[in-house]
Amino acid sequence: MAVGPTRRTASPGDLWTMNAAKALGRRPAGDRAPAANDRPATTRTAIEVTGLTKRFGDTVAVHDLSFTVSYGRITGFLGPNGAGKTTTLRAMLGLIRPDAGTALIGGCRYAELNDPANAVGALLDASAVHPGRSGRNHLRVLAKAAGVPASRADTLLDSVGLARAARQRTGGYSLGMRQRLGLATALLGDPAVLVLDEPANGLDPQGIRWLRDMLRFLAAQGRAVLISSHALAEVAQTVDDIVVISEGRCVAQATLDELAAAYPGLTLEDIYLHLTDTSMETDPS
Amino acid sequence: MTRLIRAEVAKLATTRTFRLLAIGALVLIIAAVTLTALATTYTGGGSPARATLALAGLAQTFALIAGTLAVTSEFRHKTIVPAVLITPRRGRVLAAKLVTLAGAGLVFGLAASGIAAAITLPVLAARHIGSGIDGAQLAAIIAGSGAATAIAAAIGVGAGAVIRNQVGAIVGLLSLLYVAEPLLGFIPHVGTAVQVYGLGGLASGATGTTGFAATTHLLAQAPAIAVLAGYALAVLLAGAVALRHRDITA
Repeated sequence: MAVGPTRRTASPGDLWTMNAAKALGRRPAGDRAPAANDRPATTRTAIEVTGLTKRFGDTVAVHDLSFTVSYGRITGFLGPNGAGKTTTLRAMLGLIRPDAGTALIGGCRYAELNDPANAVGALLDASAVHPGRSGRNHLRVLAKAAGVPASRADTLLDSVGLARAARQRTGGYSLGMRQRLGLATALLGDPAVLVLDEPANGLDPQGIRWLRDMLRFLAAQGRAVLISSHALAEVAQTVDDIVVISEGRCVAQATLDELAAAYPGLTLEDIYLHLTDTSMETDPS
Repeated sequence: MTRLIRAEVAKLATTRTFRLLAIGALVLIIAAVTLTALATTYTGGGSPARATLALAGLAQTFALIAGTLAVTSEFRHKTIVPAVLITPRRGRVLAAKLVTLAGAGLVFGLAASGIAAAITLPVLAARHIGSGIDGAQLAAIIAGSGAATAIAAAIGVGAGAVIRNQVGAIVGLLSLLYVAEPLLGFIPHVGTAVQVYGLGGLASGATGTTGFAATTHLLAQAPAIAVLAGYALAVLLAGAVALRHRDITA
């Protein structure tokens, strides 16, 4: 599929949008100003990665990586397996300590955020749930820690389509159900920035469509959305901006329209394979 | 901090693990205490009640495991990631676990020894065997059991944060308690110190429950509790440092 203007498939009155408006309506639509506590009012940059370097033993996972993510846009974070995407996301979220460089969210290191649950929502690994705990209790436990009302767990489960499975233990959830629960977890607060690692993984076609509509809805509210993905056809239909990394370095940052103009007639897949051509050797992971 | 403790309480309440551990420990303690009180033919110089109530010390082993599980299951199931995303100051997460698990340990230790006493004393009385303890001594045994069980849970929390691997942490702690300490106890000179200052000896000293003549040189309750608490503090500090500095790649 060609990268082009056809990707904006509006779905007015979509069920998700109505549910989402109910669940997420605390941030008025069109209010593009993110939460005041986590960024200076003068910048439109949600995430700023500068010179990020991380080594694991002798392996350099991320090497002097720099890119930015803007509010109100969906940014696709692409790269081959082992390129350093997950390491970058983890450094951004304060889970791992970079050897050099910074990854700032709203101008702050993650650890410095006043109210992280309301500043950043993240989905790194959908399997990060206790198999013996129900989806509802998973959310309620985290809601207590975040100081979010317990009733939000039910609202979120409803809006991600898990209302009927809410009281089942997550050990019996399918991958797609765990992804939906992970997305609900990311939306527990009222985050101005969303960081999602492979959110479409395991979703069925309905789920993928639902996810795309949800991400557009969230970005239209002024939130920054960063998603990593290997599903390039899906990415081409979803994102506004693209960041491509390869072997721990940034090889491209552009809007999807700029890429389409620079490589006329090529699909995003063609462009991606061209950009990451240096790393075609066997995937170490 | 209050909301973090509430979250930790909810974590304990929303999986079957801790309920099953508590029920399992109580069943074992009740069975062992009942059978011992019924069967004992104690004729030594000590107290048959103390010897029987020593079996409630199993509560400390289970608390040690529960404390370890509370931390290591977060790594095993990767729930440490959402936990520290919500609370980036990881030491606070550990502190909330410490308060919650130590509190649960305290209640459980008091209950376990209280139930054990409620079985032991009437059975011994019915069999016309003198218990060898008075009311104040019984109160000290129950209070000591609460303190020792709370501290055991705290040691488990600290050890879990240091080791992180669930199987490794539990196998390591149980090996220390049931293999290393008894074996080291046989070594001349060193053995005596291990018997007194090892986890087993300190737990017996802290609860004031022992019927074995050979262990009469154990520390008294207060110093035993103090040394045990010192161990817990050291392990928890090591756990806090490890949690703060290690990358979370779970």
